[in-house]
Amino acid sequence: MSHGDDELEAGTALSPSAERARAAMHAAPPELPDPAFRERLKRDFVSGAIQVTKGRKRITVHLPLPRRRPPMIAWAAASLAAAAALVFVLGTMNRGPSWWVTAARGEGTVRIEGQTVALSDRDTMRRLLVPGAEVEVSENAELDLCMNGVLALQLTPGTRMTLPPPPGRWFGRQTELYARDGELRVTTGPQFKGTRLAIMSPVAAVEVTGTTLAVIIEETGTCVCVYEGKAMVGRLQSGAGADMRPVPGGSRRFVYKDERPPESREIRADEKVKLAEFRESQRPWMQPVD
Amino acid sequence: MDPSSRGPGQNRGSSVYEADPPRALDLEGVRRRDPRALEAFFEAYFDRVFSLLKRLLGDTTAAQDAAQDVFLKIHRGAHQLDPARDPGPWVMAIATNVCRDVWRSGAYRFSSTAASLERTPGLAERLESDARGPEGDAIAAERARRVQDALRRLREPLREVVVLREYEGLGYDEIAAITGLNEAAVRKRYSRALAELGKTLEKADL
Repeated sequence: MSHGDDELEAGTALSPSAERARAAMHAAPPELPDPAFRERLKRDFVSGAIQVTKGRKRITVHLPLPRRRPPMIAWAAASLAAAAALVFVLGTMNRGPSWWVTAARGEGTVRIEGQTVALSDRDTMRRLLVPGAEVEVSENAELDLCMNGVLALQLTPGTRMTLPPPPGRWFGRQTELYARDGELRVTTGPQFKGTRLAIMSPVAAVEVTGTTLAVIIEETGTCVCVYEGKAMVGRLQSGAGADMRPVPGGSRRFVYKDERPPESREIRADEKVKLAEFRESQRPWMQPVD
Repeated sequence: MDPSSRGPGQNRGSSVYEADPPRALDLEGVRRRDPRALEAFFEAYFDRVFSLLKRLLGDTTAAQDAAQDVFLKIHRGAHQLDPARDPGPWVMAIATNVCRDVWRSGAYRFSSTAASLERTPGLAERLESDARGPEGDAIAAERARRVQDALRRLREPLREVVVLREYEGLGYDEIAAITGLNEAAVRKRYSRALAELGKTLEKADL
Protein backbone atom coordinates (compact mmCIF):
# COMPACT_ATOMS: atom_id res chain seq x y z
CA MET A 1 0.00 0.00 0.00
CA SER A 2 1.35 3.40 -0.91
CA HIS A 3 1.85 6.31 1.39
CA GLY A 4 -1.30 7.94 0.03
CA ASP A 5 -3.33 4.85 0.81
CA ASP A 6 -2.08 4.87 4.40
CA GLU A 7 -3.26 8.42 4.76
CA LEU A 8 -6.65 7.60 3.37
CA GLU A 9 -7.07 4.53 5.51
CA ALA A 10 -6.08 6.45 8.59
CA GLY A 11 -8.31 9.36 7.61
CA THR A 12 -5.39 11.76 8.03
CA ALA A 13 -4.34 14.61 5.72
CA LEU A 14 -3.42 13.80 2.16
CA SER A 15 -0.01 14.48 0.68
CA PRO A 16 0.56 18.09 -0.46
CA SER A 17 0.48 16.93 -4.06
CA ALA A 18 -2.85 15.15 -3.61
CA GLU A 19 -4.27 18.11 -1.73
CA ARG A 20 -3.22 20.41 -4.56
CA ALA A 21 -4.92 18.09 -7.03
CA ARG A 22 -8.14 18.15 -5.07
CA ALA A 23 -7.98 21.90 -4.63
CA ALA A 24 -7.45 22.35 -8.35
CA MET A 25 -10.38 20.09 -9.14
CA HIS A 26 -12.71 21.98 -6.86
CA ALA A 27 -11.52 25.34 -8.09
CA ALA A 28 -12.62 24.42 -11.59
CA PRO A 29 -15.98 25.91 -12.52
CA PRO A 30 -18.92 23.61 -13.05
CA GLU A 31 -19.32 21.90 -16.39
CA LEU A 32 -22.49 23.47 -17.63
CA PRO A 33 -24.38 22.09 -20.61
CA ASP A 34 -25.40 24.03 -23.66
CA PRO A 35 -28.87 25.41 -22.81
CA ALA A 36 -30.24 24.58 -26.27
CA PHE A 37 -29.06 20.97 -25.98
CA ARG A 38 -30.50 20.76 -22.49
CA GLU A 39 -33.91 21.96 -23.63
CA ARG A 40 -33.97 19.65 -26.64
CA LEU A 41 -33.04 16.60 -24.60
CA LYS A 42 -35.60 17.52 -21.94
CA ARG A 43 -38.30 17.79 -24.59
CA ASP A 44 -37.26 14.45 -26.08
CA PHE A 45 -37.11 12.77 -22.69
CA VAL A 46 -40.58 13.95 -21.71
CA SER A 47 -42.08 12.96 -25.06
CA GLY A 48 -40.34 9.59 -25.21
CA ALA A 49 -38.71 10.22 -28.61
CA ILE A 50 -35.00 10.66 -27.93
CA GLN A 51 -32.41 11.50 -30.57
CA VAL A 52 -29.24 9.49 -30.16
CA THR A 53 -26.03 9.33 -32.17
CA LYS A 54 -25.11 5.96 -33.62
CA GLY A 55 -21.76 6.22 -35.34
CA ARG A 56 -22.11 9.25 -37.58
CA LYS A 57 -25.86 8.96 -37.84
CA ARG A 58 -28.40 10.65 -35.70
CA ILE A 59 -31.50 8.59 -35.14
CA THR A 60 -34.62 9.11 -33.10
CA VAL A 61 -35.59 6.34 -30.77
CA HIS A 62 -39.30 6.30 -30.06
CA LEU A 63 -39.85 4.78 -26.70
CA PRO A 64 -43.22 3.14 -26.38
CA LEU A 65 -45.10 4.50 -23.45
CA PRO A 66 -46.00 1.67 -21.12
CA ARG A 67 -49.59 0.71 -20.90
CA ARG A 68 -51.00 2.53 -18.00
CA ARG A 69 -52.63 0.33 -15.49
CA PRO A 70 -55.87 1.93 -14.48
CA PRO A 71 -56.30 2.33 -10.76
CA MET A 72 -58.33 -0.29 -8.95
CA ILE A 73 -61.35 1.97 -8.72
CA ALA A 74 -61.34 2.32 -12.51
CA TRP A 75 -61.15 -1.46 -12.84
CA ALA A 76 -64.03 -1.84 -10.41
CA ALA A 77 -66.11 0.80 -12.18
CA ALA A 78 -65.40 -0.74 -15.57
CA SER A 79 -66.31 -4.19 -14.27
CA LEU A 80 -69.53 -2.88 -12.77
CA ALA A 81 -70.40 -1.03 -15.96
CA ALA A 82 -69.69 -4.14 -18.04
CA ALA A 83 -71.75 -6.28 -15.69
CA ALA A 84 -74.59 -3.76 -15.76
CA ALA A 85 -74.45 -3.61 -19.56
CA LEU A 86 -74.46 -7.41 -19.74
CA VAL A 87 -77.42 -7.64 -17.38
CA PHE A 88 -79.25 -4.99 -19.40
CA VAL A 89 -78.56 -6.70 -22.71
CA LEU A 90 -79.41 -10.15 -21.42
CA GLY A 91 -82.49 -8.81 -19.65
CA THR A 92 -83.66 -7.10 -22.82
CA MET A 93 -83.00 -10.15 -24.98
CA ASN A 94 -84.53 -12.49 -22.42
CA ARG A 95 -87.74 -10.49 -22.17
CA GLY A 96 -90.74 -12.24 -23.64
CA PRO A 97 -93.36 -10.66 -25.89
CA SER A 98 -95.81 -8.10 -24.55
CA TRP A 99 -99.51 -8.44 -23.93
CA TRP A 100 -101.91 -7.13 -26.54
CA VAL A 101 -105.64 -7.24 -27.16
CA THR A 102 -106.66 -9.71 -29.85
CA ALA A 103 -110.41 -9.29 -29.38
CA ALA A 104 -112.80 -7.20 -27.32
CA ARG A 105 -116.48 -8.02 -27.38
CA GLY A 106 -119.53 -6.36 -25.83
CA GLU A 107 -120.50 -2.81 -24.93
CA GLY A 108 -118.95 -2.58 -21.51
CA THR A 109 -115.62 -1.33 -20.29
CA VAL A 110 -112.48 -2.67 -18.76
CA ARG A 111 -110.78 -1.28 -15.71
CA ILE A 112 -107.02 -1.49 -15.85
CA GLU A 113 -105.11 -0.33 -12.77
CA GLY A 114 -108.20 1.59 -11.68
CA GLN A 115 -108.59 3.36 -15.02
CA THR A 116 -111.80 2.67 -16.96
CA VAL A 117 -111.17 2.17 -20.66
CA ALA A 118 -113.71 1.65 -23.43
CA LEU A 119 -113.32 -1.63 -25.24
CA SER A 120 -112.80 0.25 -28.48
CA ASP A 121 -109.81 2.15 -27.12
CA ARG A 122 -107.18 -0.46 -27.98
CA ASP A 123 -104.25 1.96 -27.78
CA THR A 124 -104.97 2.91 -24.18
CA MET A 125 -105.54 -0.71 -23.26
CA ARG A 126 -102.26 -1.73 -24.83
CA ARG A 127 -100.45 1.02 -22.96
CA LEU A 128 -101.97 0.01 -19.63
CA LEU A 129 -101.68 -3.74 -20.05
CA VAL A 130 -98.31 -4.14 -18.42
CA PRO A 131 -97.19 -7.08 -16.29
CA GLY A 132 -98.74 -6.90 -12.84
CA ALA A 133 -101.62 -4.68 -13.96
CA GLU A 134 -104.90 -5.33 -12.21
CA VAL A 135 -107.55 -5.96 -14.90
CA GLU A 136 -111.30 -6.07 -14.32
CA VAL A 137 -113.78 -6.73 -17.10
CA SER A 138 -117.30 -5.36 -16.72
CA GLU A 139 -120.40 -7.57 -16.79
CA ASN A 140 -121.20 -6.99 -20.45
CA ALA A 141 -117.68 -7.19 -21.87
CA GLU A 142 -115.25 -9.90 -22.89
CA LEU A 143 -111.54 -9.51 -23.61
CA ASP A 144 -108.97 -11.72 -25.31
CA LEU A 145 -105.34 -10.99 -24.52
CA CYS A 146 -102.39 -12.58 -26.14
CA MET A 147 -98.67 -12.87 -25.61
CA ASN A 148 -97.68 -14.07 -29.09
CA GLY A 149 -96.64 -17.69 -29.27
CA VAL A 150 -96.61 -18.05 -25.50
CA LEU A 151 -99.91 -17.53 -23.77
CA ALA A 152 -103.45 -16.29 -24.44
CA LEU A 153 -106.12 -15.35 -21.93
CA GLN A 154 -109.85 -14.93 -22.28
CA LEU A 155 -111.42 -12.76 -19.63
CA THR A 156 -115.16 -13.36 -19.50
CA PRO A 157 -117.65 -10.82 -18.04
CA GLY A 158 -116.97 -10.05 -14.41
CA THR A 159 -113.41 -11.46 -14.40
CA ARG A 160 -110.88 -9.77 -12.18
CA MET A 161 -107.24 -10.76 -12.31
CA THR A 162 -103.64 -9.60 -12.19
CA LEU A 163 -101.80 -9.80 -15.51
CA PRO A 164 -98.79 -12.12 -15.34
CA PRO A 165 -95.40 -10.93 -16.48
CA PRO A 166 -94.05 -12.58 -19.62
CA PRO A 167 -91.75 -15.50 -18.85
CA GLY A 168 -88.13 -15.09 -19.88
CA ARG A 169 -86.91 -16.66 -23.12
CA TRP A 170 -83.95 -18.46 -21.50
CA PHE A 171 -84.16 -17.89 -17.75
CA GLY A 172 -86.73 -16.68 -15.27
CA ARG A 173 -89.30 -18.88 -17.02
CA GLN A 174 -91.83 -19.04 -14.21
CA THR A 175 -94.69 -16.62 -13.99
CA GLU A 176 -97.80 -16.16 -11.85
CA LEU A 177 -101.37 -15.14 -12.51
CA TYR A 178 -103.80 -14.14 -9.78
CA ALA A 179 -107.47 -14.75 -10.65
CA ARG A 180 -109.75 -13.09 -8.10
CA ASP A 181 -113.18 -13.38 -9.65
CA GLY A 182 -115.09 -14.55 -12.74
CA GLU A 183 -114.10 -17.06 -15.41
CA LEU A 184 -110.74 -17.13 -17.11
CA ARG A 185 -109.66 -19.27 -20.01
CA VAL A 186 -106.01 -19.97 -20.67
CA THR A 187 -104.23 -21.55 -23.59
CA THR A 188 -100.52 -21.94 -24.18
CA GLY A 189 -98.49 -21.68 -27.37
CA PRO A 190 -95.40 -23.51 -28.63
CA GLN A 191 -93.04 -21.02 -27.00
CA PHE A 192 -94.55 -21.74 -23.62
CA LYS A 193 -92.55 -24.96 -23.54
CA GLY A 194 -90.38 -25.04 -20.44
CA THR A 195 -92.38 -22.34 -18.71
CA ARG A 196 -94.20 -22.85 -15.45
CA LEU A 197 -97.37 -20.81 -14.99
CA ALA A 198 -98.88 -20.76 -11.55
CA ILE A 199 -102.53 -19.66 -11.44
CA MET A 200 -103.91 -18.81 -8.07
CA SER A 201 -107.57 -18.30 -7.34
CA PRO A 202 -108.87 -17.43 -3.86
CA VAL A 203 -108.97 -21.14 -2.95
CA ALA A 204 -107.13 -23.11 -5.64
CA ALA A 205 -103.60 -23.38 -7.01
CA VAL A 206 -103.06 -24.50 -10.59
CA GLU A 207 -99.73 -25.39 -12.12
CA VAL A 208 -99.71 -25.17 -15.89
CA THR A 209 -96.96 -26.58 -18.09
CA GLY A 210 -98.77 -26.53 -21.42
CA THR A 211 -102.48 -26.87 -21.80
CA THR A 212 -105.81 -25.27 -22.48
CA LEU A 213 -107.98 -24.82 -19.43
CA ALA A 214 -110.52 -22.68 -17.70
CA VAL A 215 -110.43 -21.38 -14.16
CA ILE A 216 -113.94 -20.65 -12.99
CA ILE A 217 -114.33 -18.90 -9.68
CA GLU A 218 -117.71 -19.58 -8.11
CA GLU A 219 -119.38 -18.86 -4.78
CA THR A 220 -118.50 -22.21 -3.28
CA GLY A 221 -115.06 -22.69 -4.75
CA THR A 222 -112.93 -22.83 -7.89
CA CYS A 223 -113.46 -25.18 -10.82
CA VAL A 224 -110.50 -25.96 -13.07
CA CYS A 225 -111.58 -27.43 -16.41
CA VAL A 226 -108.78 -28.92 -18.50
CA TYR A 227 -109.53 -29.19 -22.22
CA GLU A 228 -106.24 -30.64 -23.39
CA GLY A 229 -102.87 -31.44 -21.89
CA LYS A 230 -102.56 -31.71 -18.15
CA ALA A 231 -102.55 -29.39 -15.16
CA MET A 232 -101.79 -29.85 -11.49
CA VAL A 233 -104.61 -28.60 -9.28
CA GLY A 234 -104.78 -28.39 -5.52
CA ARG A 235 -105.94 -26.38 -2.55
CA LEU A 236 -104.32 -23.03 -1.99
CA GLN A 237 -102.92 -22.87 1.49
CA SER A 238 -100.79 -20.01 2.65
CA GLY A 239 -99.94 -19.12 -0.94
CA ALA A 240 -98.65 -22.57 -1.88
CA GLY A 241 -100.45 -25.46 -3.49
CA ALA A 242 -101.47 -28.40 -1.34
CA ASP A 243 -103.07 -31.70 -2.32
CA MET A 244 -101.89 -31.11 -5.85
CA ARG A 245 -103.28 -33.71 -8.23
CA PRO A 246 -102.87 -34.06 -11.97
CA VAL A 247 -105.97 -33.17 -13.95
CA PRO A 248 -105.86 -34.64 -17.48
CA GLY A 249 -107.56 -33.20 -20.56
CA GLY A 250 -111.33 -33.71 -20.63
CA SER A 251 -111.73 -33.52 -16.88
CA ARG A 252 -112.17 -30.93 -14.15
CA ARG A 253 -111.41 -30.54 -10.49
CA PHE A 254 -113.41 -28.50 -8.06
CA VAL A 255 -111.64 -27.06 -5.05
CA TYR A 256 -114.14 -26.06 -2.39
CA LYS A 257 -113.91 -22.95 -0.33
CA ASP A 258 -114.84 -24.87 2.79
CA GLU A 259 -113.23 -27.96 4.29
CA ARG A 260 -114.67 -30.40 1.76
CA PRO A 261 -112.00 -32.22 -0.24
CA PRO A 262 -111.54 -31.36 -3.93
CA GLU A 263 -113.67 -33.32 -6.37
CA SER A 264 -112.64 -34.56 -9.84
CA ARG A 265 -115.19 -35.09 -12.61
CA GLU A 266 -115.55 -35.02 -16.38
CA ILE A 267 -115.38 -31.59 -18.01
CA ARG A 268 -118.72 -29.92 -18.66
CA ALA A 269 -119.75 -30.13 -22.30
CA ASP A 270 -120.46 -26.41 -22.68
CA GLU A 271 -117.09 -25.49 -21.20
CA LYS A 272 -115.39 -27.94 -23.50
CA VAL A 273 -116.91 -26.19 -26.50
CA LYS A 274 -115.96 -22.75 -25.23
CA LEU A 275 -112.38 -23.84 -24.60
CA ALA A 276 -112.16 -25.41 -28.03
CA GLU A 277 -113.44 -22.21 -29.64
CA PHE A 278 -111.04 -20.11 -27.63
CA ARG A 279 -108.17 -22.36 -28.55
CA GLU A 280 -109.06 -22.13 -32.20
CA SER A 281 -109.52 -18.35 -32.10
CA GLN A 282 -106.03 -17.87 -30.71
CA ARG A 283 -104.29 -20.19 -33.14
CA PRO A 284 -103.13 -17.38 -35.51
CA TRP A 285 -101.10 -15.78 -32.70
CA MET A 286 -99.89 -18.97 -31.16
CA GLN A 287 -97.54 -19.80 -34.02
CA PRO A 288 -93.83 -19.41 -33.38
CA VAL A 289 -92.82 -15.81 -34.02
CA ASP A 290 -89.01 -15.96 -33.68
CA MET B 1 -24.42 5.75 4.58
CA ASP B 2 -21.83 6.78 7.13
CA PRO B 3 -21.37 10.53 6.67
CA SER B 4 -17.63 10.22 7.25
CA SER B 5 -17.33 8.13 4.13
CA ARG B 6 -18.95 10.82 2.02
CA GLY B 7 -16.90 12.28 -0.72
CA PRO B 8 -15.11 15.55 -0.03
CA GLY B 9 -17.05 17.42 -2.63
CA GLN B 10 -20.23 16.87 -0.73
CA ASN B 11 -18.80 17.44 2.71
CA ARG B 12 -17.36 20.75 1.76
CA GLY B 13 -20.46 21.80 -0.06
CA SER B 14 -18.29 22.67 -3.02
CA SER B 15 -19.97 20.31 -5.43
CA VAL B 16 -21.40 21.99 -8.48
CA TYR B 17 -24.88 20.70 -7.73
CA GLU B 18 -26.94 19.62 -4.81
CA ALA B 19 -25.93 16.02 -4.26
CA ASP B 20 -28.72 15.18 -1.81
CA PRO B 21 -31.57 13.25 -3.41
CA PRO B 22 -34.05 15.72 -4.82
CA ARG B 23 -37.12 15.92 -2.68
CA ALA B 24 -40.72 15.73 -3.83
CA LEU B 25 -39.89 13.82 -7.00
CA ASP B 26 -42.89 11.87 -8.19
CA LEU B 27 -41.13 8.56 -8.74
CA GLU B 28 -44.41 6.73 -9.22
CA GLY B 29 -45.14 9.21 -11.99
CA VAL B 30 -41.69 8.56 -13.48
CA ARG B 31 -42.45 4.84 -13.41
CA ARG B 32 -45.65 5.54 -15.36
CA ARG B 33 -43.74 7.90 -17.70
CA ASP B 34 -46.00 10.72 -16.66
CA PRO B 35 -44.74 13.78 -18.62
CA ARG B 36 -44.71 16.10 -15.61
CA ALA B 37 -42.87 13.62 -13.45
CA LEU B 38 -40.35 12.98 -16.24
CA GLU B 39 -39.74 16.69 -16.61
CA ALA B 40 -39.13 17.12 -12.90
CA PHE B 41 -36.83 14.09 -12.92
CA PHE B 42 -34.87 15.54 -15.83
CA GLU B 43 -34.53 18.90 -14.09
CA ALA B 44 -33.32 17.17 -10.96
CA TYR B 45 -30.65 15.04 -12.59
CA PHE B 46 -29.60 16.42 -15.94
CA ASP B 47 -26.97 18.89 -14.75
CA ARG B 48 -25.46 16.31 -12.46
CA VAL B 49 -25.38 13.69 -15.19
CA PHE B 50 -23.94 16.05 -17.77
CA SER B 51 -21.25 17.26 -15.41
CA LEU B 52 -20.24 13.70 -14.61
CA LEU B 53 -20.18 12.74 -18.28
CA LYS B 54 -18.18 15.80 -19.28
CA ARG B 55 -15.57 15.11 -16.62
CA LEU B 56 -15.36 11.44 -17.40
CA LEU B 57 -15.26 11.84 -21.18
CA GLY B 58 -13.49 15.20 -21.33
CA ASP B 59 -15.34 16.35 -24.42
CA THR B 60 -18.57 18.29 -24.76
CA THR B 61 -19.80 16.51 -27.88
CA ALA B 62 -19.08 13.11 -26.41
CA ALA B 63 -20.78 14.15 -23.18
CA GLN B 64 -23.86 15.28 -25.10
CA ASP B 65 -24.05 12.02 -27.02
CA ALA B 66 -23.61 10.08 -23.81
CA ALA B 67 -26.26 12.19 -22.05
CA GLN B 68 -28.73 11.21 -24.74
CA ASP B 69 -27.90 7.57 -24.16
CA VAL B 70 -28.21 7.96 -20.41
CA PHE B 71 -31.67 9.51 -20.58
CA LEU B 72 -32.73 6.99 -23.18
CA LYS B 73 -31.79 4.22 -20.75
CA ILE B 74 -33.49 6.01 -17.87
CA HIS B 75 -36.67 6.29 -19.90
CA ARG B 76 -36.51 2.66 -20.91
CA GLY B 77 -35.86 1.47 -17.37
CA ALA B 78 -38.13 3.90 -15.56
CA HIS B 79 -40.61 1.19 -14.66
CA GLN B 80 -37.84 -0.53 -12.67
CA LEU B 81 -37.43 2.47 -10.35
CA ASP B 82 -38.06 1.72 -6.72
CA PRO B 83 -40.08 4.70 -5.41
CA ALA B 84 -38.89 3.95 -1.88
CA ARG B 85 -35.24 4.50 -2.73
CA ASP B 86 -33.11 7.43 -3.81
CA PRO B 87 -32.78 7.14 -7.59
CA GLY B 88 -29.45 9.03 -7.58
CA PRO B 89 -27.15 5.97 -7.43
CA TRP B 90 -29.19 4.29 -10.15
CA VAL B 91 -28.82 7.32 -12.42
CA MET B 92 -25.11 7.62 -11.66
CA ALA B 93 -24.61 3.92 -12.37
CA ILE B 94 -26.30 4.29 -15.75
CA ALA B 95 -24.12 7.31 -16.57
CA THR B 96 -20.97 5.49 -15.52
CA ASN B 97 -21.85 2.45 -17.59
CA VAL B 98 -22.54 4.61 -20.63
CA CYS B 99 -19.09 6.18 -20.19
CA ARG B 100 -17.51 2.75 -20.03
CA ASP B 101 -19.24 1.86 -23.30
CA VAL B 102 -17.80 5.03 -24.83
CA TRP B 103 -14.33 4.25 -23.52
CA ARG B 104 -14.48 0.82 -25.09
CA SER B 105 -15.46 2.23 -28.48
CA GLY B 106 -12.89 2.61 -31.19
CA ALA B 107 -13.99 6.14 -31.96
CA TYR B 108 -13.15 7.26 -28.45
CA ARG B 109 -9.70 5.66 -28.53
CA PHE B 110 -8.97 7.24 -31.89
CA SER B 111 -9.95 10.73 -30.80
CA SER B 112 -8.28 10.47 -27.43
CA THR B 113 -5.08 12.36 -27.99
CA ALA B 114 -2.55 13.46 -25.46
CA ALA B 115 -3.61 16.59 -23.73
CA SER B 116 -1.53 19.68 -24.04
CA LEU B 117 -0.04 20.35 -20.68
CA GLU B 118 3.34 21.82 -21.49
CA ARG B 119 4.79 24.38 -19.17
CA THR B 120 4.00 27.97 -19.89
CA PRO B 121 6.35 30.49 -18.29
CA GLY B 122 4.54 32.50 -15.61
CA LEU B 123 1.30 30.54 -15.94
CA ALA B 124 1.31 29.32 -12.37
CA GLU B 125 1.47 32.85 -11.02
CA ARG B 126 -1.31 34.01 -13.31
CA LEU B 127 -3.58 31.06 -12.49
CA GLU B 128 -3.16 31.66 -8.79
CA SER B 129 -3.82 35.39 -9.04
CA ASP B 130 -7.18 36.84 -8.03
CA ALA B 131 -7.70 38.73 -11.21
CA ARG B 132 -11.32 39.69 -11.90
CA GLY B 133 -13.25 40.72 -14.97
CA PRO B 134 -12.47 39.35 -18.41
CA GLU B 135 -8.96 38.42 -17.41
CA GLY B 136 -10.25 36.55 -14.36
CA ASP B 137 -12.75 34.64 -16.51
CA ALA B 138 -10.05 33.71 -18.96
CA ILE B 139 -7.82 32.52 -16.15
CA ALA B 140 -10.64 30.44 -14.65
CA ALA B 141 -11.37 28.91 -18.04
CA GLU B 142 -7.74 28.09 -18.57
CA ARG B 143 -7.55 26.55 -15.11
CA ALA B 144 -10.60 24.42 -15.85
CA ARG B 145 -9.17 23.33 -19.16
CA ARG B 146 -5.95 22.24 -17.56
CA VAL B 147 -7.70 20.35 -14.78
CA GLN B 148 -9.88 18.67 -17.39
CA ASP B 149 -6.84 17.81 -19.45
CA ALA B 150 -5.15 16.37 -16.40
CA LEU B 151 -8.22 14.27 -15.71
CA ARG B 152 -8.21 13.03 -19.28
CA ARG B 153 -4.63 11.86 -18.87
CA LEU B 154 -5.74 9.62 -16.02
CA ARG B 155 -6.56 6.06 -16.97
CA GLU B 156 -10.32 5.62 -17.11
CA PRO B 157 -10.68 3.37 -14.04
CA LEU B 158 -8.84 5.94 -11.91
CA ARG B 159 -10.66 8.86 -13.48
CA GLU B 160 -13.99 7.24 -12.79
CA VAL B 161 -13.30 6.84 -9.09
CA VAL B 162 -11.81 10.27 -8.49
CA VAL B 163 -14.61 12.05 -10.36
CA LEU B 164 -17.33 10.15 -8.52
CA ARG B 165 -15.61 10.87 -5.23
CA GLU B 166 -14.57 14.49 -5.71
CA TYR B 167 -17.31 15.87 -7.91
CA GLU B 168 -20.21 13.60 -7.08
CA GLY B 169 -19.36 13.52 -3.40
CA LEU B 170 -20.06 9.80 -3.22
CA GLY B 171 -18.82 7.57 -0.45
CA TYR B 172 -16.51 4.65 -1.09
CA ASP B 173 -19.37 2.22 -0.59
CA GLU B 174 -21.52 4.03 -3.16
CA ILE B 175 -18.68 4.13 -5.68
CA ALA B 176 -18.09 0.44 -5.06
CA ALA B 177 -21.77 -0.25 -5.74
CA ILE B 178 -21.70 1.75 -8.97
CA THR B 179 -18.42 0.45 -10.33
CA GLY B 180 -18.77 -3.13 -9.14
CA LEU B 181 -15.49 -2.98 -7.20
CA ASN B 182 -14.98 -3.64 -3.54
CA GLU B 183 -14.39 -0.73 -1.20
CA ALA B 184 -10.69 -1.45 -0.74
CA ALA B 185 -10.11 -1.34 -4.48
CA VAL B 186 -12.03 1.92 -4.68
CA ARG B 187 -9.86 3.47 -1.98
CA LYS B 188 -6.73 2.29 -3.72
CA ARG B 189 -7.78 3.65 -7.09
CA TYR B 190 -8.78 6.94 -5.52
CA SER B 191 -5.42 7.26 -3.87
CA ARG B 192 -3.56 6.47 -7.08
CA ALA B 193 -5.73 8.83 -9.05
CA LEU B 194 -5.01 11.73 -6.70
CA ALA B 195 -1.30 10.99 -6.76
CA GLU B 196 -1.15 10.87 -10.54
CA LEU B 197 -3.33 13.92 -10.88
CA GLY B 198 -1.11 15.83 -8.45
CA LYS B 199 1.99 14.98 -10.45
CA THR B 200 0.35 15.94 -13.71
CA LEU B 201 -0.90 19.27 -12.39
CA GLU B 202 2.48 19.96 -10.85
CA LYS B 203 4.07 19.52 -14.25
CA ALA B 204 1.53 21.95 -15.63
CA ASP B 205 2.36 24.55 -13.00
CA LEU B 206 -1.11 24.28 -11.49
